[in-house]
Amino acid sequence: MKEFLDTALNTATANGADYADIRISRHKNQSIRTRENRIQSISNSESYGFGVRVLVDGTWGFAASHRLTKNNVANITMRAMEIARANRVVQRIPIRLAEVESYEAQWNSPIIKDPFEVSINEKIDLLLMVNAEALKIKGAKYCSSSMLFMNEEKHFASTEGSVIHQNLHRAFPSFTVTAIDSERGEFETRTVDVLPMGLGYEYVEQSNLVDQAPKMAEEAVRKLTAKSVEPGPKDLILHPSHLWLTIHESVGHPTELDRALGYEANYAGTSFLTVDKMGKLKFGSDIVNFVADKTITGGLATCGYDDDGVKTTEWHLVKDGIFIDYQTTRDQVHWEKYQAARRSAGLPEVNRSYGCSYGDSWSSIPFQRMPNIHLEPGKDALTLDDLIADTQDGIYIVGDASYSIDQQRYNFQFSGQAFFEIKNGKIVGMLKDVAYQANTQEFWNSCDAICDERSWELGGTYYDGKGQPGQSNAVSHGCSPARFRNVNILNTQKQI
Amino acid sequence: MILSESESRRIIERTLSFSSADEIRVNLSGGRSGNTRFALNSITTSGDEDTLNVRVLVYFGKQHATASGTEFTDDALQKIVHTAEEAALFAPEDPEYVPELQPQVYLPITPYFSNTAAATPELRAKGVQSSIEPSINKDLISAGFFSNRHGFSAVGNNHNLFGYYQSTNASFSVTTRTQDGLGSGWGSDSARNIDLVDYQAASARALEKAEASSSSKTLEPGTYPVILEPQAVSDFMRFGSYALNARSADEGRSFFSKAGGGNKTGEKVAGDNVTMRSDPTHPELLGSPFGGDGQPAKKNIWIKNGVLTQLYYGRYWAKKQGKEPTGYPSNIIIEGEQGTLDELISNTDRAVLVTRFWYIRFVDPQSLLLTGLTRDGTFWVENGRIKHAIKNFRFNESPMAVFNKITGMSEPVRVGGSMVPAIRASEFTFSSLSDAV
Repeated sequence: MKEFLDTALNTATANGADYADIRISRHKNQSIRTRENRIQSISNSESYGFGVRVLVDGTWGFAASHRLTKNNVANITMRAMEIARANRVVQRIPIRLAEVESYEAQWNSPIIKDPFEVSINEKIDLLLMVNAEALKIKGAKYCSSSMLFMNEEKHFASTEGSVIHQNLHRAFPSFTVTAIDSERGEFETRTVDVLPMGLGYEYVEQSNLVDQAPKMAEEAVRKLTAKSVEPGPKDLILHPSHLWLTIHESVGHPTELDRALGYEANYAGTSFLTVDKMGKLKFGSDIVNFVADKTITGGLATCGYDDDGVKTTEWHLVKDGIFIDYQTTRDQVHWEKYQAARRSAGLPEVNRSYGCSYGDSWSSIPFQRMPNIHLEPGKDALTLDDLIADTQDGIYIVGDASYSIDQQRYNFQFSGQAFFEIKNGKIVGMLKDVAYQANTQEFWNSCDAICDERSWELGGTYYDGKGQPGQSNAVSHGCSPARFRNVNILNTQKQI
Repeated sequence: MILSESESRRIIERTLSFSSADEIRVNLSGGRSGNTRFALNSITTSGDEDTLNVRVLVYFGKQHATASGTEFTDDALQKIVHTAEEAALFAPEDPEYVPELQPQVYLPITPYFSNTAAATPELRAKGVQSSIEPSINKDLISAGFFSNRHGFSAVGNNHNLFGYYQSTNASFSVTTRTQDGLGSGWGSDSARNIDLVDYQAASARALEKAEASSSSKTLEPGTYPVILEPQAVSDFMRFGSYALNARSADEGRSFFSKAGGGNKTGEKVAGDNVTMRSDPTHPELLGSPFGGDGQPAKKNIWIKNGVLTQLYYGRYWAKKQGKEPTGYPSNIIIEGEQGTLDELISNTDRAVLVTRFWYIRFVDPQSLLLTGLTRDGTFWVENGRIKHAIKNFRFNESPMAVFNKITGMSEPVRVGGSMVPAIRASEFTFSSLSDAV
């Protein structure tokens, strides 16, 4: 391994690169998909290769290949150099890198049971048992279930002197039940509230999928005859299995510094959180605190070091309701607009990256990707039951479903998996056809209660898309149930 | 990495020889891609990717599993075959098993152009430069992406099926914004042949729309007549094509399910002026000659004059229902009418004109209700002219509802992998305003 790492760095340095790094990585994925009593697919995939990134006269060049030989590493490094030199003529903003320590380190996801060592048979049995249990419920017609496992092992070395080896694991078991009313030509689905985590097979075992199957099936059936929601303003209580996605879209993406300054304008868009709002904008109510973090156990974006070789950490994005910082990489920290805005707002100087660089494959260029971002739990003792008991006219939403937000992250619309009507402090029944629409800043300022740490949970996604060419990032978001006052509820039923 | 037809055949045969399974299919794919990204009128990142992948599907009787990898030594190929075989032996028998295909005849499609394959970082940088310069000259800010790819795909199995083709693609897109952040425009083009990618015209469109949209007025949310530009049509209507799966319809979980059972084939689902089809041989689109399982790509008419004529059938569901497999829709072609977008606008009394949509998601798969937002140039048309820019909207609307309200179309143009017209519809529901630009 060392000879390949050295070849890239020595070739780059000898040919005039100001900086270079190489990632050699192996990506293993296993997916098992079933529906009813049959296996739809069992798939094991492996991808192995390397990518070299060089900085020449302030311009990035990158090249990658699946052929890991010493000669090809040298050739690919030279190709990256050629690309950087070809682009110098159109480089008007030279790249600069923030300082970083050099590390010789090893980091592994703290898994207990390697999913790739568990027999396929055991996994199939579990999934088919889930389907069978769900289909015992009258009215439940179909059930599909799956397990996805990921292992990313990568070696990183840079001309800063770092040599880092990391072994990351992620696991995602899930199932969806469909209930059908064929006479009326209607159907409803319910997906279990089990979300992906940066853990091993022990997470599958702890998820109690079989026990949850009948409940999910019952809720799918109940949704068929649930009351269609009355639109208008209502109080919402959002469970962590739902709220994680609202955090992801309305807090995670707008606090990406590259978006705020226009680097993502052609695809994902920009951000309403422009740098001049740092330290000033009342993003949420006083009880709203958001922490960015790449260190929490089980977090999908958790790792020891990012793809710039920066040791991971945690920091506040929103403190006591005020927006105070962004997510950054080494080539963003020096950006003058960011630094000037921090000085102007009287915020502490930042001269190191927060460690948010990630490339989703050896063939992908690392760039700024979202860390885990969490809503801190409420400081006062408060349970979900207390919160429901304290709500007169509201809807309690569990699970994530339809989601959409504009390219500057102002206007969003979310739906969920299950909706429960609250009247006078009690859940009185299920609702359907529910979505809520809000403005990010108004929504987070309407947050008047957050449950304490006892009900704090991680949610997250395997598939956060960003960049061109598109890359996928896995990221977690933790929160406790929280209440939002007077949110605009839509009825989504449509006759054609 | 591009493998020739003979190299592909040799690796497939070599891989087949390592298996003791009853049936085995091998897919090879790979290629070389280059891309250049820019923002704030300057190149940001640029890369070059060389890939090669092998995927193996094995069957023991009706038990099956797949494995894939990127290493091609004999040891590595044997390991991939072994991984697939080991997993297949654990799998229960699949009641939906269908045998692997016998040799097939493919449509003569060559979606390959040598100049796209030969495109260099210098050529892309030149394209970026020509996009950035007018933006700088007008004190605007541009961000965009220029990419090209040369790839190949091969499939073979132990029933002597074999297929091979090379393909190329090039794509350019740019977003231009005003310095004050109040105006934004977008343009794009893509083609198999990089010489047909008109990045200068796309850049000019983005620039023009950025300037034209910089002083927008507020139009209250509601239901309005609408003109969807071809990109907006492609963004929106493709969600309708996702629902064409016959099995979902027959199982009662689709817009195309019929109350009481079965599907809506033969029923009127859209206006008389709607015809939607797929044609992998279309000269402007040039699709893939076969799918991953080696099935030939086919021409299909999904909706003809508003009547649902065909749903998509996979091999198992086709056999079960006594139908022919259709192949997955290789592209979407919506027949239009005569005339250009400008002519459609000039014949319109009043309408919201949408450049494109963003972040479209299903809200209700039953009615195909979608939500999403307008982006990069939304305008009010009155008395045949664009009167002024308007603020962006969120919409909640169904493509099938719009398919029933089309009052005019332009001739179809190429948008990515589709040929679609601009469409004017009598009603479109915008549910709220968005402050986003």
